Amino acid sequence: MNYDLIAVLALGAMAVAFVVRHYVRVSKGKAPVCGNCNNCACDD
Amino acid sequence: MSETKVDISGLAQRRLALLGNPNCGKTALFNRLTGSQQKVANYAGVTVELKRGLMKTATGRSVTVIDLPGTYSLNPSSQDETVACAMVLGQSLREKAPDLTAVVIDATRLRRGLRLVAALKRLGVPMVVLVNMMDRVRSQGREFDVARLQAALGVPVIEATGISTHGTDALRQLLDQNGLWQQARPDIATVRPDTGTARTDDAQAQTWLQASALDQPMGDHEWSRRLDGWLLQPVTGVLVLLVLLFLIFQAVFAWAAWPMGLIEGATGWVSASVDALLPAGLLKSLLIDGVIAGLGGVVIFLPQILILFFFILVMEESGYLPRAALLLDRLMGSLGLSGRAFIPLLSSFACAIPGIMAARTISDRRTKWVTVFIAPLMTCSARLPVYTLLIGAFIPAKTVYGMSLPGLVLFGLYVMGIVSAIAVAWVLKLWRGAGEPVQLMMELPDYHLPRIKDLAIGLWQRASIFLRNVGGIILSLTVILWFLSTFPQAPVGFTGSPIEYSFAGRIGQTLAGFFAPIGFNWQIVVALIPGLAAREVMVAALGTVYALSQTGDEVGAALGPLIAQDWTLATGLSLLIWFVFAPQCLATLAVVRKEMGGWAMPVGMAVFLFGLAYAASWVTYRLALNLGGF
Repeated sequence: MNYDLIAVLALGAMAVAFVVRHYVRVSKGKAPVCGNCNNCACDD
Repeated sequence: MSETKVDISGLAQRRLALLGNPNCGKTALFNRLTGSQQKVANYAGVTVELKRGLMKTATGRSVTVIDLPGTYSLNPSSQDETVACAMVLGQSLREKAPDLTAVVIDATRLRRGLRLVAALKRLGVPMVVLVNMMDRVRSQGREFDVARLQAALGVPVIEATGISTHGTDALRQLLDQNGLWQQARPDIATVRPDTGTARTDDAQAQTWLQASALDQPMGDHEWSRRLDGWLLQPVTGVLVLLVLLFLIFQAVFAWAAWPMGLIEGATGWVSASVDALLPAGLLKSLLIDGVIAGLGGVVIFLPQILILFFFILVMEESGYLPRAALLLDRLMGSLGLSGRAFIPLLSSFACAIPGIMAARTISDRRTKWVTVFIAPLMTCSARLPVYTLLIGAFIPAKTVYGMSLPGLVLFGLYVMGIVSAIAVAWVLKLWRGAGEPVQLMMELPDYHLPRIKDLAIGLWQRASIFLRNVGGIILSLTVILWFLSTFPQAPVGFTGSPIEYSFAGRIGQTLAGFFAPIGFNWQIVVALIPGLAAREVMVAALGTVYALSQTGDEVGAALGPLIAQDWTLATGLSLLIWFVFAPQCLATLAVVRKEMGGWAMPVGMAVFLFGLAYAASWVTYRLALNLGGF
C-alpha cells in the first residue's frame, strides 16, 4: 500500500474541506469576510 | 470579533443599548462591561455597526449589551447613525428594541451629550446616563456634582471612566434594580426625524447644565492646544505628517531585520529537520516544498507588519489621526471628497474591507461611491509581504544620504498608492461630477499618551489574525496548490522541470502569453491565481512553485534570492507596480457588492483596476527594459 500517497491525499482532502467550509461560512455570514480585522460584526 | 464573547446564547433576555456621541468612549465601556476586545481608537467613527456582548450584573444576571455607532442626534445623517437611531427607537427591522438605553456622555463635552439625552427624554425612552471620561475632569481639578445632575435630569446618572473599572461596578449594581427594566416603552416606532426639535433639545441641555452648575466651558488641554498650533498649521502640519510617514517606513525595514533573520533561520531548521527525518517521496515534498516553503515565505513578514501597526496604533491612540484628517480636508474637497473620507481611506491602510465599511459614515452617496472606489488603492497590510519580498530581491540594501534605500522605495510605493487614489478620485469627479459639498465636522480629541496595554492588545490581535490566516486559509490554499503543481506527474524522459507538466504548470503556460508583454513568467501567473484570495497568498504560492521548480540541491533556499536570479529587474518592478493597482482580493470586491448593493460597482471596479494595473505594469516594464536593458 502506498502510504505516502494516502497521507498526501488525506492532507489534500482536509485542505479542500477547510477552504470549502471557510467560503460557505463567509457566504452565510458566519465568518469574517477576510479575517483581517475583528470589526465586521459577521454574526449579524 | 471574538465569537466566544458574542451573546448567541439567547439566555440574556434583558437588552441594554449603549448610545452616545461619536468618540465618547462607548466601545471602551462596552469592552470593559463584556470583556470583549472591540477596536477602540481616539477618533470618531470607529464603530459603524452594532456589536453585541454579554455582561453580568452585580448579582450575576445576564444582560445583552449592544454597542451602537455614535450619533449626535436622533435625526440621522448617515448610514451608521441610522443604525443607532433605528435601534433605540425600536424602528429596526432586524433587531428588537432595547429594554434600557445607557446614554454615554463625555464629561468634557456635556452639552452635546445632553442634547441627545433631551431628545430621548422627550420621547420617553427608558434610560440611564453614564458620564464618561471623568478622569479628565478630575485631572483639571474641576468639581462635578453627579447627584445634582441626576436631580436635574430625573434619570439615574453614573460617573465612569471607560478605561478602568470606575463606574462599571456602579452600573452593574444599578442594573440589578428591577424597576429600571420594567419602565413602559412609549410607542415611538413611527417617530420620524424632525429637525425643528434640535433647538428645543439644545435649550433643554443648557437648562440642565445651569441647574447642575456645570455650564462653565472646560478649559483647553494645554498640551493639546500647543501641539495643535504646529500640527494643524497647513505647512508645518503637512510637513510633520510626511516626515512621520517617512520615518515609519524606514523603521519597518531597519527594525525588522533581526526578527526576520530569526524566523528565516527557524524555517530553514524545520525544513532541514523534515528533510533528514522523512524518506524521499510525496509526503516529504508536500511538507517541504508546499507547507514550509509556502508558509515560511509569508510568516517571515510578521515583524514588519507588527512594526507598521505599532505606529498606526500609536497615531490612533494619541489622537493624531483626526488632525491629519482635518489637514487633508481641503485637498479632499478639491477631489470631490470630504475629510469624512479620510477615516475610511486611512482604515484601508490596514485592510480595504473595514475601510469600505467605514464609508457608511459618509452621508452623500456620490462621495461614498468615490471613497469606496479608491479605498482598494490604499496600500493594505497584505501588500507588505509582496512589497518587501520584491524590494529585498531587487533593490540593493544601500544607504542613500543616510536613508535606507529599501525603506525609501517602500515609502515611494505607499505614496504611489495615495497619489493614484487621488488621481482616480479626480478623474471620477470629472466624469460623474463632485458630490454635494460636505462640511467636515470632526471632534478633535485631546492628545493622550498611548497606553501600553492597548498597544499590546492591538499588536497581539494583529499578530493572531495574521497567524490564524497563515495557519488556516493560506495553509490550505498552499496544500491545494502543491497538488495542482505536482499532479499529473511528469512521465519518465520528460525534459524540463516536472512542475511544467502539472495542472498548475499548464494553466500558467496557457495564460503566460497574455502576461508576457508586462514581463510576467508562468510561475508568477500561477501564483497570481491563489493570490486572488488574499495578496499575501501570492508570496506563499511563489514559494511553493519555486520550491517545486528546483533540483534537490536547492531545496530550502530562500525565495528572495531565487526570484532575483530567475527574473529581470524589469519583471520585478513590473510586478511591484501590478500590486499597487490590481484588486487582488476577492473579499474586497464581495464587500463592495454588499455595501453598494449590487454587482455593477465591484465588476466595474475590478475591470478598471485590473486594466490600470496592466497598463501601469506594461509602462514600467518597457521603461525599465529600455532604460537599463536588463
